[in-house]
Amino acid sequence: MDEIHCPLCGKPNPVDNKYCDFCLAHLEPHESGQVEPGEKLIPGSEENRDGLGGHGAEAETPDWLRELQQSSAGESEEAGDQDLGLELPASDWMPGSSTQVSGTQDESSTISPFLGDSERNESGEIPTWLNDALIEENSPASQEVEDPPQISQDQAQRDEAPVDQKAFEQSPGSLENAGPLAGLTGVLSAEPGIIRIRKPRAYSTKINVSNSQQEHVELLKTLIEDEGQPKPLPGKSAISQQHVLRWSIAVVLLLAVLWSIITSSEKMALPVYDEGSAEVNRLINELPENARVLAGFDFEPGLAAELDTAAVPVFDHLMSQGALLTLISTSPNGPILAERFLQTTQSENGYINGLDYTNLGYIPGGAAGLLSFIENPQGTMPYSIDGLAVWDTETGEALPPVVGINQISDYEMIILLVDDPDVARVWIEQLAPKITNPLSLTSLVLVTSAQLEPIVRPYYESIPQPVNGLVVGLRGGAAYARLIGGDQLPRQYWDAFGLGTFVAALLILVGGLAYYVVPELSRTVRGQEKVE
Amino acid sequence: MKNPVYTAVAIGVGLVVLLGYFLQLDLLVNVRIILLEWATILVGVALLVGVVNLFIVHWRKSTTDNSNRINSIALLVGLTITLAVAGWFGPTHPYSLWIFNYIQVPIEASLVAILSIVLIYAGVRLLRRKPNLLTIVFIATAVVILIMSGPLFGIDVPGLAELRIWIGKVPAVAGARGILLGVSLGIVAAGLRILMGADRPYGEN
Repeated sequence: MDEIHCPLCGKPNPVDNKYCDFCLAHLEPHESGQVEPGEKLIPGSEENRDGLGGHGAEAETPDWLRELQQSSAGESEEAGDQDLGLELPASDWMPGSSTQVSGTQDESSTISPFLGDSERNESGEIPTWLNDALIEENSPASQEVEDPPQISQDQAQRDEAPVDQKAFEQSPGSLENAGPLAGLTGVLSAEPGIIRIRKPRAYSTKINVSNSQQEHVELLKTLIEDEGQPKPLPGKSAISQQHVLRWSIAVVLLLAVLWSIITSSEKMALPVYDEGSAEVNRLINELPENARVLAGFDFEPGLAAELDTAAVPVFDHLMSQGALLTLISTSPNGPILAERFLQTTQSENGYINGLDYTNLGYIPGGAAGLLSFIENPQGTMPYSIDGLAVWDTETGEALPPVVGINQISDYEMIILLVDDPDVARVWIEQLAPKITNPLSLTSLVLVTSAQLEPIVRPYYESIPQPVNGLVVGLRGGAAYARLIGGDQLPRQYWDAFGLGTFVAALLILVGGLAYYVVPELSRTVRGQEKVE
Repeated sequence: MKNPVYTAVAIGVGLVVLLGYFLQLDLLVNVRIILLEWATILVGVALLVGVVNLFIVHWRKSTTDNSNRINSIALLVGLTITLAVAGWFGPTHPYSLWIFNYIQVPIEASLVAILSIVLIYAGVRLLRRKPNLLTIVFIATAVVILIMSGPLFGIDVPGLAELRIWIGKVPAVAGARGILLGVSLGIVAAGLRILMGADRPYGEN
């Protein structure tokens, strides 16, 4: 029966086989020709360089591997030019071969257990430790193995097998003589005889980097370390542009006001006429003697200077008419503001608490409380702020300011000092049904801050009028003071007020233009510079 | 679930107070007056409860390790002193007036003075951004009103005083009337929703 030998393991296989029954290698002959029986391809040899028995070596080898093979072939040819000429002793795993190893290409690619040139010292002598080992191997026990008996054809074929395989098969240690595998041959041995003696290729643990790469690494390392470091926030300058501007405005405004106060020039004329103030003046002039007037103090202490100045001429006029006052407020600060007003600005009129005026205090509840007071003054505020019984009761008579007052429309006049639009609206809306009644003789007069004029003026200009008179801010108070001829307090403030408002307007105008013009000019200059 | 009793009470009280504006029936007027007095008393008690709550909250803050405890301590000290002086001597006593005249009034007046500087500063910076027509109109109106509110050194600029009066009587009043109408319509709508039970800002668990 025809057989074909495996090009890899050398074992016979039927001709029909395409692959080796033993090692599954491809049995087809390689491109260089038919493999003859007995001829084997040694791994690493020229014919079997790809490790596949040479099959398809040229057709299927990639470029990178072809280049590598060519370079390897070149090195092998160079090595082949040198005849090592080393007489090696026979070893027990390679019988009968005290051969001279020639540096052919095929054999150099096999793993050689012998000492190479690199293992010799510089004098070309074998090291002592290796020499001792060689002496032991050349001992008679080893020579016995070197003279093999007559070998069979199979054994001859095995002799031509790779060195490692022969070493494996012919090693004395391959016959197990102990353990569960005793008596078996071909057992893989744990002895160092089958371990490949080739020195492991040394790989450096250091990365081979160039200087420029090293510099880049250092740079990247520095960048990463910098990212991890907390950077302090750029400190704000203690004096910014906004600070300078704000302080400049404050200083200029303060100097303007102070200059007017210090010089006390009082040269600027008071306003001649104000329609709302003139109407209030007319209403007060028409009041009867000892008229009962309800005064609501519903403003905050911050605007006390403006409202006090506007209200002083009005109350001077009222007190000169002998009006009896009832003070009330829907703000917690209102009652004490009313007391302060009478004690600081009207002290010369000599009004006495409980006799010429009474302070009913604070009405809680906002609009509901105010409506309750309008509907039922006696029930809502039965006592004054000092704890006195105000109204006419079974136990006592009513205080003079409220004698004859049974409902809100019994007052001849209601004066409201107010700085808040919502509070003003609540007062007007709750009082309007009582005041606009044709039978009512009560008039409602407002003394307000200048900021409130647009809100309350619609009530003043509507018909019927819920608001019968209007004194607005320092200007209205000054106009009223001029009407009655008692202009002491508005006169003190009028010049400083006029200069202050003028400087404020000037600051807004000049500062705003500077803020607008300067950046525009600089932008234009930069544009021209770019063009040039 | 909202309690229907709350809704019924709210609607009933609202209707009674509202009808009191239109119908002058003695019974209706008397009930209305009683309800309004109750409301006034309740709000007064709520104010006292608020003061007590303010005291308790700042007492807790002042006794804990808080960085702002000094503010709470200042508030407690001021509240206690004012309450003691006004409660013992009376709110119209010179001691009480001294606290008011020399502490509260100057502080609030200073805040208003700072507000004037801030407003001028805002007006100065208004033109920093790209100005448009409304910005220019706003600045021009403010400047005219400010200048003509004072005496302007006795200088009579023709037309400027009339312009100030026109601004105060026409555009400003028109805007204010629009605001007032809007507020009134909003109040009517909110009142109707409460009377119909659509809004129930009470009785929430």
